[in-house]
Amino acid sequence: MLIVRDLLDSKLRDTFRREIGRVDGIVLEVEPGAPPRVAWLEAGGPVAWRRASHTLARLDEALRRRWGARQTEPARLPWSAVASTEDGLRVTVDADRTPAMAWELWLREHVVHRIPFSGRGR
Amino acid sequence: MKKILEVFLGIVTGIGGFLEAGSLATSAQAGAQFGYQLTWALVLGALSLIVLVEASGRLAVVSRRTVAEAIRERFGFGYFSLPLVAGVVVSFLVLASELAVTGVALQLVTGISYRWWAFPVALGGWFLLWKGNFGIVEKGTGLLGLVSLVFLFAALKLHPDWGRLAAGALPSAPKEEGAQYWFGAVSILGASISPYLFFFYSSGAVEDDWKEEDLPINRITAGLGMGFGAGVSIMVLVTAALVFFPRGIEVARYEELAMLVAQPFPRFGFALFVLALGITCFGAAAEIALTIAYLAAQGWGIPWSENQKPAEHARFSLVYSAAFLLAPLLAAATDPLKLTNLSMAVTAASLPVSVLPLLVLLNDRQLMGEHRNRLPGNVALVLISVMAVVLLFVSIPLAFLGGG
Repeated sequence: MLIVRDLLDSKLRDTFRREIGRVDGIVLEVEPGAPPRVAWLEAGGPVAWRRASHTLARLDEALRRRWGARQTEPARLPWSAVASTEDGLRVTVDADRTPAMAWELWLREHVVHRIPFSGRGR
Repeated sequence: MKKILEVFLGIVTGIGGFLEAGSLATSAQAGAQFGYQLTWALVLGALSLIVLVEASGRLAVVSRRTVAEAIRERFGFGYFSLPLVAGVVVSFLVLASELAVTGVALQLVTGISYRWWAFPVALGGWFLLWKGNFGIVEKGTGLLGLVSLVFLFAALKLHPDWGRLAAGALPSAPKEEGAQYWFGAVSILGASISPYLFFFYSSGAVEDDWKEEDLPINRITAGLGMGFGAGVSIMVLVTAALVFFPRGIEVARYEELAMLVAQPFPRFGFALFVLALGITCFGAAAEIALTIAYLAAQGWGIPWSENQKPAEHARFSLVYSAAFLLAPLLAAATDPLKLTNLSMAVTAASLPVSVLPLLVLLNDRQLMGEHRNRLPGNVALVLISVMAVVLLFVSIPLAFLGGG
């Protein structure tokens, strides 16, 4: 497996096969005398923008601070939670309990549910 | 039987959903100013679109990924941010233009300015996406959009010179007004090969859960649906060449286009024109707003589907809601025809960032397996890519020189 080609930007699914996001960043752990190893996968937050442009990443961070963001830090999922690497990555976590879904849940509760015909309760 | 119906619906929605503010305005302006001479740009645009739509549908079916998802995975977020930002900006401009022109159709009936109508039209489009599903958005608006066939009947009634039309299908240089002529060609290409069309189409293939056995349907829908759809645009050019060109009338406002149908059909032509203008632009607005949400959600891996209730996919639903909230502000503040012309030029300039990756993706053995591109497909994609790069450099300067 090649880290950048096969891991970075892959789709992340939770233990119930629900989409969490994409692998926006990879955190490597380096210990003396051992080869680097993948420790964490990052999803959400300004991580992705940082890869495209530092200016856009700073803008993203400023907007998050300004608008009282639910989630300022990316979700960090341990590599040990990866259960499958077929068709994206499946991790043994509940998406709703990760920061990656914080905005989704907040918007659903505070905005979408208050608009008629949103399908609340289905 | 089900497959035949699917093919039929695919072709019909391709025809009914083809015409929108951009293709209508650019074809009519070209016919009014240069007669049949710019037909070649429409033919070239249609052929390019057929290749791109077939390729993006095949990519979605075989890889189970939309074009946006595949670009992000294969090229990374750094590159993906280019088609993402370009796609969202261009689609937003086109959305505002579709809302304004739907407003013009309502203005023609009520006398109330399109500036006011842009807001209720946006609300209607939002409600269609919020309450409806993908089938209603695509097939519903496509079927109603068949009223645009009125341009075919108008052209036939006016007895076009088929020989000169065929001659116009071959590119030729203008004798005068060079900048306007080439700007017309660029705008037609921008209107024909909008990246939103293949982002939307590949998302639809995933929404409709197409399988590999549906690949022939993809080929037929792309070829005949888009081909006949482009035929309607050519008929707009033909009517403009017959109604406006001999009288030296240049199109300055959308309202003037009513003459294209009202002259051959004096009794009910005006009503049919208003219906065609309103329905096709409203349908395009819904599809474009949905495409903005598709692009954002697929790029970030946010759950998305127009076939689910908004509460299931809050962020996805709120992206198109935000688009419908902001676009009428731009629609109300600008001249619809100028906004359309500008957005077509910007669309043409944005083509390379979306088209070039297709060449790599369609040849990816891991992604496409036995369905990867063969030589003819690659030659076509390379030619389209070269054209897209040329458009990148000439479209914006021509918009200033040629009256965008």
